[in-house]
Amino acid sequence: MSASKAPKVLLNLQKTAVLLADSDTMGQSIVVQMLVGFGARNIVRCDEADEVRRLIKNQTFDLIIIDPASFGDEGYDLLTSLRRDQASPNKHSPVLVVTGHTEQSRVGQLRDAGANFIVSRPLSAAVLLDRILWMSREKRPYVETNHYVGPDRRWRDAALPLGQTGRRQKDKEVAARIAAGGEMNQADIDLVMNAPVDTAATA
Amino acid sequence: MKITYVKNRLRAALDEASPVMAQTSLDRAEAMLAEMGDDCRKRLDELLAMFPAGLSGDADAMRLQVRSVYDTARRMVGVGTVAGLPEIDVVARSLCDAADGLLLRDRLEWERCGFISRR
Repeated sequence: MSASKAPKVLLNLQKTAVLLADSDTMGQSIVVQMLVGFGARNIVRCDEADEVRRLIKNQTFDLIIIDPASFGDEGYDLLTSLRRDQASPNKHSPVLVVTGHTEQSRVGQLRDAGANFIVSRPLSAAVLLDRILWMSREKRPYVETNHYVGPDRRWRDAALPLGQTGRRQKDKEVAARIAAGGEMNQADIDLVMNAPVDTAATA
Repeated sequence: MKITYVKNRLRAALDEASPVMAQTSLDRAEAMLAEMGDDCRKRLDELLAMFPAGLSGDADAMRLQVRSVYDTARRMVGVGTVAGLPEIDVVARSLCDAADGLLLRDRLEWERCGFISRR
């Protein structure tokens, strides 16, 4: 649910351990300002790939925000190894990738790296807040295959969080049918009934 | 395929903290970003000064220079908006596309990058 659409949504990152990995200090500072605004007090900033690797092996984070492109080739490996390392305490931590630009040759690698969300810069505080809220409500299981380790990507048929306007063809069809006074079929009902309800997150 | 259901760690951490309206958090974050405007403008000047006027040297050297243009432009994306110059972000992304396209196709035509820089 977007904060702007639902003013009663609550968010405080005071108790959230955040790892912010970005080799560019200005890019890092911009995200830090937003996180501090959201109440975060425990932010570990990191601008070197080796240090990121060491941290994700030894420390548990509730939220990892990373710009893999800023670390060059190593950045994408960092993400993959985070998910594939059986001993990693962050194997199932929510990962938000923030990126200014992704090289064409890297798009597939980024898609398969196992991030929960990918957002592009310029990043507004409202978008970051929305994505954090969205990740906090996620109930997707983690899947492990030979080619992919990360949150289940098969969520095409899952309903959007409450308050979000659907952009999928199916969402538009259901909305049009309801607006026209038509009856919902079983698939429409399933789509609506699958909507995640999270009363704890709203006042 | 192995499927694992895990507790949402982020949700648990948020639930532990005292509740704050998201709108309050958002306002606070935007106020803090507004304070960064001057720093971002300075950073943009630094990055703009790093762009070469053209390419020189052999093919390998030129490839490295295009790569450097790409990296510099990528670092600009996002800084422009906070500096109050959102058009810079659009230009920087466009420059990233051009430089990445040239590197991907192993072409070294500076004019394509130079055109975006000049505009």
